[in-house]
Amino acid sequence: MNIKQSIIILSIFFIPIFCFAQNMDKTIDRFYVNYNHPIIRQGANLLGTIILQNNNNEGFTLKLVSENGGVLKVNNSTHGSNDINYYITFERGTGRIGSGVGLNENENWEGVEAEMLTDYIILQTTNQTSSTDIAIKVYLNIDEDVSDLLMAGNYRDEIEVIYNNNNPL
Amino acid sequence: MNNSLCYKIIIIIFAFILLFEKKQLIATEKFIVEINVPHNSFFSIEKYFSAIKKGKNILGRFSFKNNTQDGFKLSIISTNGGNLKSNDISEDIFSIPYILTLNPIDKSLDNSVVEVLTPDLHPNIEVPFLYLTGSAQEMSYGYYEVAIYIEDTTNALEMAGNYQDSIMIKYSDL
Repeated sequence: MNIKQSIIILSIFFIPIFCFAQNMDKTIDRFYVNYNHPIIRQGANLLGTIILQNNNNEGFTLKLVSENGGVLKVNNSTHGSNDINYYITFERGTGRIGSGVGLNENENWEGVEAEMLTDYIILQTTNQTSSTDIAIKVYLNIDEDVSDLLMAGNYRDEIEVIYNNNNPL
Repeated sequence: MNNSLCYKIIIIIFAFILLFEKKQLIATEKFIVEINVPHNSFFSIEKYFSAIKKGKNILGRFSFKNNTQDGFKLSIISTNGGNLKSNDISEDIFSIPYILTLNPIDKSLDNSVVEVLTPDLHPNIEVPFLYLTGSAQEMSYGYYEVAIYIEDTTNALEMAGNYQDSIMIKYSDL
């Protein structure tokens, strides 16, 4: 095998690595939500998809905060009614999570039921060694029957999606 | 140390602070989740005008719907307390007793709703027959037939006279 052939063979292995390797230079910092606006029913309701791209080696935090602590609180001063409990689940969409990024406590989105009593951290890191580029579907789940027999009232909650990029450019 | 040197030192310190200060970029989005259920309170009566006879007499039907937690009350008031009485004082020797019953045709009642299908009637006294004893958890609705049963063991219906009673069904959205 001559030198030329050796270079070609090595190129086959190394070129893809160079192509996919990314600099952790904080230049990628994108966060937004594609909202779905569902009519809320019993079961899983897709609220939207969180899109997050980040190549900050000092990391970031992505969390959910419920205004009413995991209930759809009824605003009905004249007749009164009961709040509706819910929990949040996640589904991993396309993309990847960077190395060094901690997931939630179960290390897996599937099957996690976030009751939203306190702030719920979805992703967190202070030492990211490869970039994150991920889509996360967020579902609101209601076990009780949301039917025509529901009591009168305006049931509402606001769930903030907070993205915190550490020491950006 | 002169003033210009002091200024330079202060500027250098600020520059270091700015250079090494940990910045944070925070961005937020918000999911707003809302279910709006309007107040639903409904009551209606259908009256039948058939001749009163011995046995079962269907007076009419009523329906209601209510989805408020503080609820509703349905009650009945009989002027003569479950008796057909003669208006003619001179002939007022008979009164014809009857039993009022409510027959559900279609219904869905909250667990806190008390249902009395054969209320005891007393003269001019409001007798509740569908009412809440606690907080409602779901909407209640119902469609009932109102009937009276006249046993008339003494054949009083065959005697001359104008026998009557007035029955009022009252719906209250509390």
